[in-house]
Amino acid sequence: MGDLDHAMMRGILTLTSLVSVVLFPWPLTTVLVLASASVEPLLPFSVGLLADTLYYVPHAAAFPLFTLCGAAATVLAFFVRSRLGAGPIR
Amino acid sequence: MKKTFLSRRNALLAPENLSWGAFALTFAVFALFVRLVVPNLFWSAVAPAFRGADALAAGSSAFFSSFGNAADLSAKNEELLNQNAALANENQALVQKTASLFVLLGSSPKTDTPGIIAGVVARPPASPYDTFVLASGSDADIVVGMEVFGAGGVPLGIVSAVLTGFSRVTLFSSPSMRVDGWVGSTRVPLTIRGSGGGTMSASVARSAGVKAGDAVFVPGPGALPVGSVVRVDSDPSSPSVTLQIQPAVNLFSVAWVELRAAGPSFAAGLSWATSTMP
Repeated sequence: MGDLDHAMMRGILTLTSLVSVVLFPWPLTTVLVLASASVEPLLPFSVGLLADTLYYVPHAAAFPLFTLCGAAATVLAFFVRSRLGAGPIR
Repeated sequence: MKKTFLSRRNALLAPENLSWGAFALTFAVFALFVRLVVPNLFWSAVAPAFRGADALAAGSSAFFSSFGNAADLSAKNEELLNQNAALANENQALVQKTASLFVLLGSSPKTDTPGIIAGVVARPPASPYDTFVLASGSDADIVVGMEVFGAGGVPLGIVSAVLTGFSRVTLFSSPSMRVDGWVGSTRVPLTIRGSGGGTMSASVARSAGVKAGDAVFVPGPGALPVGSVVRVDSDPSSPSVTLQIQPAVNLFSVAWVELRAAGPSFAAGLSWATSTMP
């Protein structure tokens, strides 16, 4: 039951983050995704990619910033999870 | 002899790490693929979601405003009506004055060419790069480089990408946008830079005497007000000051825009990159 709740929470967080790219102001999306990164490390990169797919134009910025920042957050989240997983604290 | 196979474990690629995140990543990659291969289909599919977001924002705004003090709202409404009437009268007087001047100078005023009206389906702050997505494209004769105006003829930005049924506008407040203009009643020349978040900035000499509240203009048919100075940041060791400029219209609530071909004087003062993406 506990695993099911955990999986459901991760699913809800993922769907909410994806939908928030369209529905919510981007600072709120950023907070939501960063808060979810600990349970879904791939989410920052995915949401950043989706945001740039929807909104990026080369005139606005030289690089797709949200994809790059999302990738950096994903790498950081994976790193932190691997460190926590290797240690005695679960 | 029975061989024992041990599954290879990787801390970064464990199945429990990948389930929902992998789904999200697959979805994002698929969306990017569709946008790059069939962009018009992509925007047709996404537009209803943007319209739904608009309806949700309008509904929530109406819901929260219903908690406001009715007496205050009524007083504010009356004040705005009075201001509106005063501005309408002032506008009429200016129109008459302009017509009189044209008669006096012996030339007839040129009739304005009608622009293209387009609905806005995505705007800041949902759009993080200070861009608009419009629900009209090349099928409505919109072309890259057209200037975009808000209510009251306020310049907002430039059309940066056009598809069959949709187009995207890069706002003057977008980072990397540069446009030449003037500030104040003495028309001090300056270069307006986009600062993101719906704001702009510019640097002028301290001796120019620019102060908060001064209007900022860009070229067009004459000088068009694009915003006003809300703050002057001054460093005693610098001979120049930085102006923080607020757009004349609220970019976060623009529902429609008018598009017209940019004049040569405006195009000469504009600095932006060329679009490479659909």
